[in-house]
Amino acid sequence: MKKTKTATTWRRRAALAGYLFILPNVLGFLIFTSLPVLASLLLSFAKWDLLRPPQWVGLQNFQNLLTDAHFWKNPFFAIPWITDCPLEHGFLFNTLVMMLAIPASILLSLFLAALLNQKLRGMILFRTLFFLPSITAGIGTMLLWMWLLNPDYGIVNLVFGHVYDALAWMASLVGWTWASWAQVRPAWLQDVTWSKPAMIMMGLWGSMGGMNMILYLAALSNVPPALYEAAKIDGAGAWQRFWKITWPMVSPTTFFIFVMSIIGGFQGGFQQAHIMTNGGPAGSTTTIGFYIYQNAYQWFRMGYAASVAWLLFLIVLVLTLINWRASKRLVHYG
Amino acid sequence: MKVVVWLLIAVVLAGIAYSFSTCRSEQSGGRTELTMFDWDYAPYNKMNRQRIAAFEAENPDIKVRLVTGNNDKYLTMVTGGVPPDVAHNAYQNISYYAKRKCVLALDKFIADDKDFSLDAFFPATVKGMWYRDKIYALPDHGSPMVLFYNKNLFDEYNRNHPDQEPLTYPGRDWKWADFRRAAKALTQDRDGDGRIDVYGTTVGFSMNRFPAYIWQNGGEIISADKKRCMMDSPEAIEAIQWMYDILWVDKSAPTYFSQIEGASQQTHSIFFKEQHLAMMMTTRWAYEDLLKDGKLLTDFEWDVALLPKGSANRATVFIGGGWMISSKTPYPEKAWRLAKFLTNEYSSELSMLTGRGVAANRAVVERLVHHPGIPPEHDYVWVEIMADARPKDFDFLEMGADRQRALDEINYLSQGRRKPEEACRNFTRIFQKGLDTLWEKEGGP
Repeated sequence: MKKTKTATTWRRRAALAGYLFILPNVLGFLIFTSLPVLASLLLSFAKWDLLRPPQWVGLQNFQNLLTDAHFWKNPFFAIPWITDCPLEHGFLFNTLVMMLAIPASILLSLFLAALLNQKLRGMILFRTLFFLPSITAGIGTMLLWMWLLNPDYGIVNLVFGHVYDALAWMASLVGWTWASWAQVRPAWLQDVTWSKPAMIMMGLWGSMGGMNMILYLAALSNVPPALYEAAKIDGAGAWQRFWKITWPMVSPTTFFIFVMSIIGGFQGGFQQAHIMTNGGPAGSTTTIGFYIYQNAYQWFRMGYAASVAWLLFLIVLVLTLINWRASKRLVHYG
Repeated sequence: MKVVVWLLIAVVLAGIAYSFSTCRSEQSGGRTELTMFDWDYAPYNKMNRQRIAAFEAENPDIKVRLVTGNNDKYLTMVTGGVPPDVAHNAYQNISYYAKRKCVLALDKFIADDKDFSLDAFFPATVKGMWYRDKIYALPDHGSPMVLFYNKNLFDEYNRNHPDQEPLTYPGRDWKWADFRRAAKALTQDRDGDGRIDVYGTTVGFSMNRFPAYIWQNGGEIISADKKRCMMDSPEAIEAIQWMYDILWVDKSAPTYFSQIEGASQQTHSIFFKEQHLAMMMTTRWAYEDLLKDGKLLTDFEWDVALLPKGSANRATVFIGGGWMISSKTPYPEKAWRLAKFLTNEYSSELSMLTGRGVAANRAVVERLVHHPGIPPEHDYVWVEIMADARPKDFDFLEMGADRQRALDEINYLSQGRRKPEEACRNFTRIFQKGLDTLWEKEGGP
């Protein structure tokens, strides 16, 4: 009896100690995360310029958001109730376009991981080199990219220019005359049409060799070699081994990366826009994240910014739920 | 175990308490602590530490703590109830804080202080510190545009084109036509590969640049009563057409430098430094990029000149900042002493030597821009141009996205996607909508 009581007391003490150890973290979470989240929800129903007391406006911010062409305008279909706006594309569309990099980034990460999974001399050096963009200061790399993307003197146009000239020469052999590269070269970050592809290109460079590659490396190292050996004995080729073994075996990792990339993609683009383009030219690199910032800190419409943030949360939530549902069919937890 | 846990909690709580306590001005050990806020930039931080040391030596009863950041941080501090006692901000933000009574009107301090006079400053810099009928900041610096030019490229052109009318260096008699001709002549594709190796100039379509050309041509962005956008006036359209022609007809300026956004802001001067640009119309901030081993570049001969004259006058845009005093400071008199010190001759000289535009303090600038034998030869144009500098009256208006979208029209124009008249009319329509909404909300200017 006494022994049981002692054990119970010990368990209680251990539990108490456990709670006390996590208390700082929980307190921090409550104060610095939960409260602001709750505050932002309340603010989404208010008008607030940060320096005067908020005014309750009910659903006005959300009503405005539903008719905000800055947010919704897209080249595919007209939304009858949205207000007119001179922008070519809205910021939701910009965000979605920049997220086109996600599938390419996933595939490139897997490809790189597969290459770096070989047992060769000096592989650690290559792994380090490919991971470097992830640990290099964002501002530094962005400034560097601004120079790489300079229309006249950037390396990107220099390389593309040579490729274009070679193609133009080949075309001239069959009688086609192409315009000179100087006439057609993209102005990248300074052109409404090319600014998003420029951002995608830069995003791919940063993401394919980063954390995703590390996750894939870990996943690949967990695929039992026996599976490949058995498949080889059965006569499976390299593509079949990849498609029938590697791809399903790394599917939980792919799923994780995909879900996180979707979430990150919807929230992303802020740093690039803030540092490189200020969301331009003509709003073409303004993403939802940057639009929230503009409303909150440039135009002092904190309530409206909060309502955009909550809409963004809802979009991400719904997509994540869809992803989870789809994962039951597509992900193999072998 | 228990002791460790409680110690841990105590440390966390003490940390939180300390972080809150350090945000406030306080009185300790007989010295008042004031917080001073300025942009976070290494050369400015160094400069401010020097200023603070000198101020504390003069005012042993005050200790100054420097807090650095950008306007977002300043706004957060004000919103969080821990505003810095004295803060630097860009002039276009001052009205925002003044309107919301976050900063003190300084008229009484100025009137009561016999050692202080606004006459010490360039009038344009003082003009930017007002909101309605009160002054809310002391001017720190301004940075109007002047014309930078590469003398070697002018000389080279004259040598290589003896049959052409020689190009003269930009001077006070230069007009738009002279500038345009020189820009066109100096644009070169040296190796004939179709890529321009030297551009004649840059054309700035940002809100800090293009209004100058409209003013020079006798136009206005908004009417004097601030109720009407005037970008569709013939004077404004003609000015925008002139800029557009340099870019898209003469092709003597790179189109990618003409954008409004951040990417292009710093690169003009780098291109000028690398001699890919013969002329550029920009502010004194460019000097920072033209430094080599801590001294202004002497690799080639360059100079500065007044802007070419438009049909009406030689206007230039004033950009700058000033020192505000928080309305929440418990020590307004001491904060005033600090703000005053930050604009005196000692502080202004440091500011100027650090490369922060043109100091607002006239005597300092006049002293520093005369340096015979050291380039740029005509550095004193910074003094002269101050007489033509104008704050952007439309920049004080809280128009949010409408202002941004109006600017986008100018941006589309600079990319060749709009014709000048179309862009100006669109700009006017969007800007006017923003103005109407603003005045409806605020009950008038």
